[in-house]
Amino acid sequence: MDISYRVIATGLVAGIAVNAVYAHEGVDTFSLRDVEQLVHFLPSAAPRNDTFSPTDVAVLDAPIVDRAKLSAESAMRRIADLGVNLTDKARMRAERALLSAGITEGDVSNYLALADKVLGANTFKSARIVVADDPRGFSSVTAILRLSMSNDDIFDLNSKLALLEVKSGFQPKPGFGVTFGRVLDGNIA
Amino acid sequence: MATSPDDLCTFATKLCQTKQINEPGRRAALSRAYYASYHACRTWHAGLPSFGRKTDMSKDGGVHSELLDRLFHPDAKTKEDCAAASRNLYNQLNVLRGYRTDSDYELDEDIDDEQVSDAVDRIHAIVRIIKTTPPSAKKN
Repeated sequence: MDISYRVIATGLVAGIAVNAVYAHEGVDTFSLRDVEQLVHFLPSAAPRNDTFSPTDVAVLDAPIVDRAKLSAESAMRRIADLGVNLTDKARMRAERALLSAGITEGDVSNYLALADKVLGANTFKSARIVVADDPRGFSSVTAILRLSMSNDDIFDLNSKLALLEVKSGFQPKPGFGVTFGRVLDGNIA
Repeated sequence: MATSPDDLCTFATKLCQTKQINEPGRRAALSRAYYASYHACRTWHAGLPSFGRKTDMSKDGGVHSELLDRLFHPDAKTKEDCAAASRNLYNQLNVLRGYRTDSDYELDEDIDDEQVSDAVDRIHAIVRIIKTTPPSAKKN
């Protein structure tokens, strides 16, 4: 198989795979992980004796990577809407974690909507994010919604949130989470 | 067992509650808080009749990623309250993981009292979840 045919074949298979993932996931849910999976998928779908490399696919699918970056940025903007104060470095780490996990604005909104159900009439006083950025493991961003409540009440809210996740069949992506916490009252006890 | 997860949690809590602790002390306290909680969650998960699923989420990670992965994906046979406890433990432990990462690696990020106070709440939450939801029966 000559090189030009191989590139065309790669493009065709990649195109079919991209379209299949688009159809399955929707255009806004692409992530770097999707691209990685595509790289793994391609060799088995490719014509026999053909070879593919991640570089081929990265070039062919560059717009997908760009889309994933835009998606992570919009997810970060949605998180920033909560009133989170971040240093530039912390924001960059958070965006990288969201990108790595393939988190979209929709993922963030869905989780926040679930948390809002649990909150009911209560309102949070401040928000903070915690980034667990692990190049060899998985990275994640957690939004902590802080309320003026007792530890027991916060415990109940977190328990309700977890139970609602399970009961409703909600499947959050592991790269983004929401949890409730107490506003610091000056007494660590 | 020479040292139990409970012992580690008790010590980590005391460390976090140290009065007028300086920033290196806060970093050490948050690091201990994570590891104590990790052991407590690992012991709880090991007692489940069916372990949580391991997915691509932890394919390149070590034992810490794997535990979080399994807590996040409780087995379908797990009772609803245990499945919710598993997800809740994941949420608590994952926050502590973030604090631990900042404490040990991000030396130019501020570590404040709010994080240490929150860590104490989360250790208490983990201990309470484990005590109130033992990893026992399968789903009927």
